[in-house]
Parts: sequence; structure tokens; C-alpha cells
Amino acid sequence: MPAENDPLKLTLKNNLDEVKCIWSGIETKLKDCCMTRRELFQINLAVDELFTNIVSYAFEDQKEHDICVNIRIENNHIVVELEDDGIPFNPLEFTPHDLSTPLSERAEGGLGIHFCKRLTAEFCYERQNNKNRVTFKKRIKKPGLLKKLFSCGRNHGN
Amino acid sequence: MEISENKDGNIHIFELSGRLDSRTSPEFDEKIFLAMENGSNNFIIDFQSLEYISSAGLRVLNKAYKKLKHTDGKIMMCNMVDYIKEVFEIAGFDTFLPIVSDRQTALKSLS
Repeated sequence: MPAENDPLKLTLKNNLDEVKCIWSGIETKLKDCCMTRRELFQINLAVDELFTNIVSYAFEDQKEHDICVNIRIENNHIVVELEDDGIPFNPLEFTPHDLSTPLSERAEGGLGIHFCKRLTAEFCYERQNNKNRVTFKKRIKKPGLLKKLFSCGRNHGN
Repeated sequence: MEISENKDGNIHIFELSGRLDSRTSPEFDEKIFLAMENGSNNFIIDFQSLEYISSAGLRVLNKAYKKLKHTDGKIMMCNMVDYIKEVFEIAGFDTFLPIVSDRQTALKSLS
């Protein structure tokens, strides 16, 4: 029997097509629990934005790279971790455009990291062994069913 | 992602369904800019069947809004679920791109 808190692990390639594996992975695992659509959407969005950012900017070569996404539960939080071997990038140091500037004068883009920070808690970054690791938490209201769900299946992406 | 288009008078309506993300937003970008090239100047984006949007989708709308500024064009969005609306608010888009409850209200406002 898998342990109750075994994480969901996704190993994705640095290709934007893999975005669909993020939402299918997250939604397949979490759709039957009592998370709201809003909570699911926000977790999906935060992972998607970080992943898209890594694929778009982290690699200076044309080689294939692995981007690891780990999702686990800790008490009443979902904890998400993304790891890549791209160039160092600390999202915490990223400053979004001034959002009070009229849209017509604002540069496009740069919103993804802003969304992640606004929609999640305890957003952390570390650089170790030539890898970037971003971790964030998302509080969920009814964690009981989540535990049950994680104990039912854990093999996606392994 | 499915994108359907129709016109009501001189108002160009896009109905988006599925997921508008970094994979699918180039198609929406292409279609809305083609519509502008073909003379459409007022747009309604109907979010009724849209399940998901990421910053890539907002980027297309930002680009379109900027272009339409030069021609006094407008974009109105409608039928948005609360958690997608929240993303537009966090991005500070809602002040510039009006979000209304339904398509009739959007049509009335643009007519």
C-alpha cells in the first residue's frame, strides 16, 4: 500500500506541449476531491506559469531537459515543487510591470510570475546542484478527501 | 481549445471554449488579428465555455487592446466565471477591458 502522503510526480520535457500533462495530471488526481474549481484552477495556473517560464527562458541550448513537478499534501496545504537544470532564475527577484500603468502603455508579458505569487503562499526559491527549485503552498479547505485520493493512486508520470 | 466567430452587425464575436494557454493562444492571436486586418473594430469575447486561461491568453488580449486603441476600437468580455475574472483583476486588466455579465449586455453597450 502506498503511504498516505506519497507525492504526485510528473517528469516533463522542456516543450510547451507538456502543459497539457500538467492539467491532466493535476485534474485527474484532484478532480474527485472537495477542492473547489477555483482552487484547482489556481494550482493549475501557478504550475503552468512556472513551467511555461522555464521552457521559454531557462535553457540556452537546444537539448531536451527534464522539468520535475512534485505535488504533495502537508496538513491542509498542497505543496508544489518544480525543479529544472536551466540557468539560475529566482522568481522572487522578478518585478512585475507597474499594474497601475494603462494597459496601452504596458509591455506585454511578465504576468505569469505575478499570478503565482498572488495565488499561492510561502513561495520559495533555492539554487542547489546547478538546479533551480521553486516551492509554493496552496491552502485547501477540506484536506481529508485529498489524503484519501492521494492514497488511491500515485503512479502518474513515474 | 475551440474558437468560433460570428458577427452581429459590425460587432465581431469570439466564443472561446476549452483552455487558452501557451499552447493554444497563438491560434487566438492569429484569429483576432486577422479579424482586425479585415476591418473588425469592436469585439466581444464570450468566455461562457472557457475552462482555463493563463497569462499567455491575457497577453493576446493586451496586444489586441493596444492595436485597437489606435482605431478607437473596443473589446468587451462576458460570461466569465469568478476565478477567471479574478485573474483579470490581479493583472490589472479589468480597469481597461470591460467585463460584463452576459452577451446581451455587451452587445447593448457596443451598439
